[in-house]
Amino acid sequence: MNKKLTGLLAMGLLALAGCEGDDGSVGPAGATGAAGPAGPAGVPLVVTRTDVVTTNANIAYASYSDSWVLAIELQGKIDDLVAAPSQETFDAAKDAWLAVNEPYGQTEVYRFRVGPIDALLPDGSLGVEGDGPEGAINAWPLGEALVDYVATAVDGDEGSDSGNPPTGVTGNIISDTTFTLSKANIRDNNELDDDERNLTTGFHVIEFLLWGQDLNADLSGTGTRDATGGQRPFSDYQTGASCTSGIGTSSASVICERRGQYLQLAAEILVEDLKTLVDAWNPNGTGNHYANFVAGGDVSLAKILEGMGRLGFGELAGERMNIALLTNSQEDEHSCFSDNTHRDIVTNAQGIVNSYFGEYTRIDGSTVDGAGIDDLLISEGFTETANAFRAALETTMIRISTIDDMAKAGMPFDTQIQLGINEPNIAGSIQALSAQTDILETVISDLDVTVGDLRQDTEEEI
Amino acid sequence: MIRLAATVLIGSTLLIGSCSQRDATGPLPAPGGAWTLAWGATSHTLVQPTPTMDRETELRFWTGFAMFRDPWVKAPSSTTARDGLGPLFSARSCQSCHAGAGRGDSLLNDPDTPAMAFKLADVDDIHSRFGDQLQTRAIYDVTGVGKRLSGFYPGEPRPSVKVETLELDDTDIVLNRVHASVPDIPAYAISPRVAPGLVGLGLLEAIPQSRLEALEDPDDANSDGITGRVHWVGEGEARAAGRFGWKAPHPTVAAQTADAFRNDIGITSVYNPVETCAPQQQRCHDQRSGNGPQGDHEIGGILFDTAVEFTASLAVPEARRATAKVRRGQRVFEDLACAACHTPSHDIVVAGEQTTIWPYTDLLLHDMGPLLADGIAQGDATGGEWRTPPLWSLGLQQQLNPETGFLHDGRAATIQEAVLWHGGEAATAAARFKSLSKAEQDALAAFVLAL
Repeated sequence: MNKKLTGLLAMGLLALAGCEGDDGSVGPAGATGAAGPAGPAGVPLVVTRTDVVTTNANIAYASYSDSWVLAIELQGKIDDLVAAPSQETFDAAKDAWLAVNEPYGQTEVYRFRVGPIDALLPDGSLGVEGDGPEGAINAWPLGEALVDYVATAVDGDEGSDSGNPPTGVTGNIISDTTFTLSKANIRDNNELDDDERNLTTGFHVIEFLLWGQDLNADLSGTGTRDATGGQRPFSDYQTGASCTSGIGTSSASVICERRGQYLQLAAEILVEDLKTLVDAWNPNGTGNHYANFVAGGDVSLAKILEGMGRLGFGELAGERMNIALLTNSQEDEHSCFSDNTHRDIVTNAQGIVNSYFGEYTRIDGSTVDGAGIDDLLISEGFTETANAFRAALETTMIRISTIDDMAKAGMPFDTQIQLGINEPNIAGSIQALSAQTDILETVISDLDVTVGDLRQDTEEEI
Repeated sequence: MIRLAATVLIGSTLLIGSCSQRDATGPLPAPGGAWTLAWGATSHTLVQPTPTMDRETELRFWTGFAMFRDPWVKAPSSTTARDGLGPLFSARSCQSCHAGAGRGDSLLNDPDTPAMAFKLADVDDIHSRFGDQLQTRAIYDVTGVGKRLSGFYPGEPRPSVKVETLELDDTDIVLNRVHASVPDIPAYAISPRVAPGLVGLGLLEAIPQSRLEALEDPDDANSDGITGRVHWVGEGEARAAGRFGWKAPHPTVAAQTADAFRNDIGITSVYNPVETCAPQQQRCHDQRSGNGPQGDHEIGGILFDTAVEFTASLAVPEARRATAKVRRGQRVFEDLACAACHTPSHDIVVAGEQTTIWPYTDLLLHDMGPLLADGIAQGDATGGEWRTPPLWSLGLQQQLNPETGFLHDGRAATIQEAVLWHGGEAATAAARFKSLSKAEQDALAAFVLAL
């Protein structure tokens, strides 16, 4: 909606400049033609807070639903791979994984605000942060040694100390034939009393099972970083004598069978978990999160703004970029097996843009286009703030695109961070996210959406 | 000085009413002084940076938050900066016990909560068999080439929990407490400790050591029955006042953070380079470490520093509304001389700026009597001594996590219960509390929860 609105606003300003105030009487043919309809003098467009909250909920539905649909496609490609392993079916599964992450990355702006992704309980109500399916869907970092074979060293890090086995580490859920592979067992991971029991599920487990560890050119894990992701061969899914566990390491057929079975179950679990979010945001639902959120007024608006701030600064700048940069840790990046981190960064930042403008482009090319925070700011008279945040987002997106472009040109994020702490594209992107956060604070204070509910009297609670 | 004043003021409400800091209409003082957090657009977490922080520092704050929030994983993993979990551990992340930087669940509400550390007494040969803390979980056992995987490496046993009920004379409040027991370990040797809230730790670290020494009164020279003493830690140059932990064994936020990384998550650092495996736990010793390529520790220097900075700079939120009931509770607080240990305020200097903070603690060790004693000596602290915990933000911590409880093991569901558990040096105050009307007792609780 922003483009249309900007157009209207520009017309309004012109009218103001020409007539010293819009009297609402000038029609399309100018002052000499027939009088046009009366306008809301000086206010180009009116949207309410509930409009903004509703559009935000609509985009949540659309982006989770897109992710769910593409996850079902991924599941189908994985079934094809396991049924007939070949380079072609293997690549098709990888492409499907990359595809589902495009809309999913844009949903992450719905995190950090005690929404369904972080707090959804099985009965459809919201609990506290940590109760939701986020851990099962997108748990990271991943202790991949628990799932499948790993190399003795990754990026030169052997992690060994006295008494450790010097060669490959082989014991894991896939190789442990006493571990019955089932959805329930994978979900539960046999850990009682555990608050994060789902580290065996989600996007990054599937990513690891499709790409394998990113071991660079010499496959030893100690060589120079290169431009490729993980090196898992499709023969890891071939049964019979062709079965491998890594390039050139033949393996018992049962291991490849179990690996395929695990991958299929992980895809099935992912589809199930995404569906719970689609249901929570279903606009036809009654009493579901969508209905409650739309009715939530300023509390919902505050959540939108909080999610935008936490994702942009705390998560994207503070964690996903700054830690990788600070530690120069090759694989301390979000999608470390597929080397898809550049897309994670872009799609996360795009999610913030979507929330601001109230616009989202669906995977079929159609759009959800409603009331944005920009419209609300203009409606309430904060035109300068509206434009400042628009400009800040533009700066962020163009700076982040340099990381994306470099990766597409052959230098993935894990190699870009090697350029040093002052690598201009990453440092510049972090700086843009910081500046964006400054202006977001102005947005919050202009719209005056403080949540004071914790400050209430304590008397009733005693 | 405040301690003395409070003693003199016992029973003298008129005099109290005239004191300048007890303006009956104004708000309660800002707990964190100039670093107090105003109410913002969030209501579900205490993870908020101090408001004066510049963006560059705040970036490090959020980087530290990632180390606080994200689960550690088993080594080796591709995310080399975040591996090294266990082999023995109690939780995978800081966040899983200190949710939203607040308090963990009480065993009474949630017997399986991960947010409980089970400390062990050094009796019989318990320390050589288990170390000084029970580790209730362990990583998947990977024993290497040619060896069969045998499932999850058995952690140390998780204690079963038994509730004991105490009925007191002169009050209808029923007190519950938990006993944790494990086969082979006598119940008296196990002390459950709940994960405390984390706000304002950097401000407590900034209280001058001379101030703590001035508050000491080990020989009860003023005959008020209170004998607080500094928990001195370290020798010679390194000798410093302990401030953090339930018995104040750690003088700095860094030392406390390193202790939690090692004892709760199994992550080694420059402070604590050795894993928690007890001498005879050979399979534990055989597991791979998550040390970095340069022989760095499992949490390396830069990331450890950001985690410490994060922990030290969690902002203290404003106090809640000072209603008439809260003001009445404040008078009760003063009447009972609670401030003799829960010292209301301290002057500190942070980042070159002077301010007054209101944590309501003297950070000193006090004998709290047999009902609270856990029998576990820690450093110089005896089995009956506890460090006065700060009271700021307790009400918020309870509101954020209704499953939590007060006191070191979360046994008290209400402030009223917590006061009644006080014994030893606080026995007089607790006895006087018992003689108050219910309205006065409730007012005291309202005051404490408003801080």
